[in-house]
Amino acid sequence: MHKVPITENGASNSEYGTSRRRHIYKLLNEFEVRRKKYSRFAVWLVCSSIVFFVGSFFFRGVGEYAVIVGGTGPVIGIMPMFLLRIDFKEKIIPQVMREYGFRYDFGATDMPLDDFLPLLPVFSDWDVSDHIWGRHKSVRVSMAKLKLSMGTPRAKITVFSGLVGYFQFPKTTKSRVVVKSSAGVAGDLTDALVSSNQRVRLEDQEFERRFDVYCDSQVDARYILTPTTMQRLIVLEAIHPGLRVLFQNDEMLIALPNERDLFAVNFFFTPIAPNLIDAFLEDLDQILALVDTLKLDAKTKI
Amino acid sequence: MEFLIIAGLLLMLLYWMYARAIHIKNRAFEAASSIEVQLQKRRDLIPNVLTLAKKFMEHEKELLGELTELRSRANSIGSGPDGLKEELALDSTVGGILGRFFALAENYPDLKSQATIVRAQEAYEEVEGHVAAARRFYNSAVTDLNNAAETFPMSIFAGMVGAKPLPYFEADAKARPPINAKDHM
Repeated sequence: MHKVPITENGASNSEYGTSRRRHIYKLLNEFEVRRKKYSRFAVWLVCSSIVFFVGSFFFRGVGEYAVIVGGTGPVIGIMPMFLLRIDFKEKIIPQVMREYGFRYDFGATDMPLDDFLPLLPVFSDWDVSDHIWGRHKSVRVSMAKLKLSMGTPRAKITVFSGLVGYFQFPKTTKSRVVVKSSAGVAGDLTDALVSSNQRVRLEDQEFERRFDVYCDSQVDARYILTPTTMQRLIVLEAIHPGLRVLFQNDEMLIALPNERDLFAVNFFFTPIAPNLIDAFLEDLDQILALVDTLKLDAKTKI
Repeated sequence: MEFLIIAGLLLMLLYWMYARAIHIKNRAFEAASSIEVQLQKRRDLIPNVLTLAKKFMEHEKELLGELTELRSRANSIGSGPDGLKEELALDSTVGGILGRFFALAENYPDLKSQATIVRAQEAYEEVEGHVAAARRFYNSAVTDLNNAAETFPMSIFAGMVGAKPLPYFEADAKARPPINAKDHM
């Protein structure tokens, strides 16, 4: 059973939960009918193309047509499956998320990335998708999947793949506090030579071993990074290695390297079954667990 | 040739130690100045709190009088390392009394319902957070300074740049009220 709690936007009684599930399952069943139809069409077209292509070797004069038909057939056959995938992300997932008190935008058109730049490596291309936002335990949450790459269209290297998100933080700061995974001696040398931000050295040895902290105010950095917050970040880093965090105003921005595709669906082999929802909710769980691990809903500003 | 290389390396090491002593001293002064800024912010809260409290807290005249006196004493202390020790001790008491004041304010429903006192309490909590942060920065800088001033051979360079040990800033635990879980629920 998934652990996602019913948020304040949704009802918490089990009766409503059941009717909500029933509504979602009905949507999924409609989609499954379409998926089966499109799959049959794709298999039929791909097999026909292969038969046509192979058969052309036995009949003279149809060589060039065989190549065209044999090449375009599979593309035409697979195309509806891709369209179905987009349709699924644009229609089904938003409805599921809405039922659980969250909003979802596949294209992530409203996700601003500029604020995350201090946390991210240098990149030339970016792709942001699967934007989820809403409130969890009264804490504002906004997360999206981000993939950054570098290089030419022919030779691209992925420099970051994972989640980026905003969380409401119980404290406000005028300075910008950047917390990155420690780069060791090489990082210290780079800081000394090129970094414009002041490095902050904190008292917690374990935290210092795992993270490098930058802020233009030593006091503001310590105001945000209390011993309790440092302990919580250590716990989070153990779960998500490579964690990067930025605190500004009343927000905590987070970047989590993660190779997994969020809300991924493989339509060719996987039936659209109710258990897909559980898989989605597990993905949502992973995001919301950050609020719980960091105890962002706590009223005490410690 | 070897002698020149060794002498060069030695000179570099001596210069590094001298520069380090200056850095440690300046960092401690920066920390002392930042803690003074935060303590002044805390003291600036007092007049507003007193104006409100005088209206509603007739029975706490002694506490309010103590607060006024401590504030004027803290404001009259000169800046610099000499006055710092006295200032830190005094402000520790001011923080404790302010904490007690806000805890006592809970017993006065008329006062508690005032928007100004709610804002003052929020400002007090924020200032206390900054004082605690400044205290951590100051104590960390003072540890470095005191280690340099008391350990050979850095003590020689610390003496050259006029770096003297500074007092630590400790919170006055006795003056603080115990945390009431009800306030946070």
